[in-house]
Parts: sequence; structure tokens; C-alpha cells
Amino acid sequence: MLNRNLTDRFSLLRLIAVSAWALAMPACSFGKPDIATVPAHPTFEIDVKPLLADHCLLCHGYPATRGAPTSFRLDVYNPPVGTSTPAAYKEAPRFIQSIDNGKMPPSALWGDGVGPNGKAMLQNWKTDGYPD
Amino acid sequence: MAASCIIGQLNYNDLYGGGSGRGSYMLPHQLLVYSTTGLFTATGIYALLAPQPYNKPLKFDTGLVHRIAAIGATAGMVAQVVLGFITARTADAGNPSGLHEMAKIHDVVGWTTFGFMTAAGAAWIF
Repeated sequence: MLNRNLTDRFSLLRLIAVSAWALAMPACSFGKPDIATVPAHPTFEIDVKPLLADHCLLCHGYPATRGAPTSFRLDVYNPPVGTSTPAAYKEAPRFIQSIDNGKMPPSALWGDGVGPNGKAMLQNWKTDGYPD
Repeated sequence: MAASCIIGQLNYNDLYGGGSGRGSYMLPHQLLVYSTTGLFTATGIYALLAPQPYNKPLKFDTGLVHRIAAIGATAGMVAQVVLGFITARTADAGNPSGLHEMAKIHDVVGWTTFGFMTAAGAAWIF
């Protein structure tokens, strides 16, 4: 009785469809696509800031949102005059490391982080001494 | 479900409606929606396992209202799980594109689902 009810009401086809969706959804990408080319000598304003806007500034802008720490900001290269919150230049080694080791953005855990070109660009920026 | 909707609305207002944006309601909303989804699934399984009712002619009564509203609530819950997952993953990816619109749809569908669920519950009780 129990088995027949289950078979009638929750067919195998529906079970397969639900399972396929459950398996497929986590694999989908919801982040911005990777940058097309890797600039050899990137600068903050032209190359890095747009990358941060695509992956980081939703939370790490100013003011910080969604539970992000308020102790730094990534939307500007240096703190504006009259403010002291550390900005992208000072935080660069730390945020590049977080991106590289897959800690940030949070969805990097699911393979939805900064792409290989974006990471390579940040390494070039680091090599050049984080130019503005 | 009511708590999920209310806290969800506060979360929406906080993140997209001119609130502080600090995300104070994110975790409570997450815990509540997991609980709601679990309870709804358990209730659904319980209904699926119920004995076959005796045959009766189709007519507009509380049984029919309950069934229609329960189907609407189920569709809404499935949509909410998908929309909630997509919204959260998009935000976690730091991707601002279309996030506000997705959150708005999630908010509207949430209250609609709550309406269906209330109707289904009321029809079942009365």
C-alpha cells in the first residue's frame, strides 16, 4: 500500500528530474566571467578596480556591507583625505592572498571565484609594486 | 513560514531598501528558511504517505481549496529554494549584476507562497 502510493504520487521521472537539478545547481556559475586578457603592467584604476567591482566591492566597498569587516575598504587606492580606514594599496598583499587561496569571494569554495586571468593580473600588479 | 517572511523582508530592507546593509538578518533568515523548508518537506511527505481518500465528485469545497492552495504553496516553495540559492550564490560571488531584481522577485514570491500556505492551512482547519 505504502509503496504503491509512493510510486503513484512521486514517479521515478520526477525523482530523476529533482535529483538532476539538485546535482546541477551547485555546479552552475553565478559570478562574473574571467577577464579576457592579462595586462602585463596593470594599474589599480584601469585594471584592478574593475576586477574588484566584479567580485569584491559588493561587500568590501564603503561602507562595508553583508557582514564584511569595516576595518578596511577596497573601493579606493588610498584612504581619502581626512579618513584613516586602510584602502586597497595597503590591503593588497592580504586580499590577493585571500583570492589566491580561494578564501574570497565566498563562492570561490564552489569554483565561482576570480578566474585564472584575473589572478594572473593581480600577480603582475603585485610584481610591479601595486601601482595606482 | 511567517517568521521566514518577516525576517526575509527585514533582510531585504537592510540590504536593498536603504537599510544599513550590514547583513544583520542574513543568518537568522538562513536558519529560518532551512527550518521552514524542512517542515514543509516533512508535511508534504506526510501528505504523500496518507491513505488514498475515497472517491467523491469534484466540487468547490474546503478540500478543493486546500488542494489548490497546497499545490500553489509547493510550487512557491520550490521556486523559493531555487531563487534563494541563486540570489545567495550570486551575492557570495560578489556579482552585483541583477542581484537587486532577483532579491525583489524572491521577496514577492515568498509572500505569495505564504499566502498560498495560509489559505491551505485555513481551508484544512475550517
